Amino acid sequence: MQASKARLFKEYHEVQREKTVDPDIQLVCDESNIFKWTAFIKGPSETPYEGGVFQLAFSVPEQYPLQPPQVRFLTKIFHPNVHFKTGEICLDILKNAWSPAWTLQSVCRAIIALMAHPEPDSPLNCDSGNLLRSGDVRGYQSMARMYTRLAAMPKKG
Amino acid sequence: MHNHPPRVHSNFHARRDNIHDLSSMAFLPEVVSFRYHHIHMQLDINNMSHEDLLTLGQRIDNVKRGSSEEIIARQMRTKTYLLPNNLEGSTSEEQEINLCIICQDEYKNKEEIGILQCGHEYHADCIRRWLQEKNVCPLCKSKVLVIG
Repeated sequence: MQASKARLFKEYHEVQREKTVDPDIQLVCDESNIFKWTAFIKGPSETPYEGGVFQLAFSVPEQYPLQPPQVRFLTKIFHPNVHFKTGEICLDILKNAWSPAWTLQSVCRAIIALMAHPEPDSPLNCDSGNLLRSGDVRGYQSMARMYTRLAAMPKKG
Repeated sequence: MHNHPPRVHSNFHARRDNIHDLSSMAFLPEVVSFRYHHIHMQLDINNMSHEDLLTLGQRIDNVKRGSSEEIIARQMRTKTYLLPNNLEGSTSEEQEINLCIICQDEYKNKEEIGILQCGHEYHADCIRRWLQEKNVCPLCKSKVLVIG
């Protein structure tokens, strides 16, 4: 079998196993295509994303795990390192610093860590990055919280 | 779409050594198929959209920075994996440590294991494929093979 498929099947079984289930991450594989995955991640606590559930789309290349998966936010998010329109994520491990030791689940954990620790010096969302760089933490937090409420929380009746 | 045919700039061979002329990247097979209208206009990076630049960046990143097969064959130590005899005595957790992080598969009896200078071990075939991609240990990121 193709190495990428074999490895994705391993990861598929791993995320089903109860003791490896992470309460903050729900990873689902497309029923008809093992190269397409969706993740639902919980916004980390004590951040403006707390209480929100964010959907990620994974597209896994055939050369996986020698090449990183492509991941983007499907849920709108206001974060310096996420493109506001496309949901693209600026994260070194998804680009140059990729290593085959990462799994889809550990990539999700890295994205959760990025949500809690934005890096305003390499912004994909300049408005968000500029707020943080100019020291307006409150401004950034209130914008991020507003979009979390609008896009990542269930609508109230 | 684009109504002009794909064509590489006429003097592109002469420009191969000019790193600022992005059209010279056309010698990379992956870039040839990539939005040739940019090649046509010599990749006007100042007027490319953010998305186009990202795509370009990804294409450039795809250039392999790994080691050649000969260097890997010459410098990587290998051994044959032998299953421990006292399998009944060991717990399943102890066995799980013996897996190749690249394919996530447990080592089977008599499989060839590759050992890097940092001491990390993988299936020899798995690590060979990765080192051709990039010359770093997947676990500790140390540069593993001396090129040259």
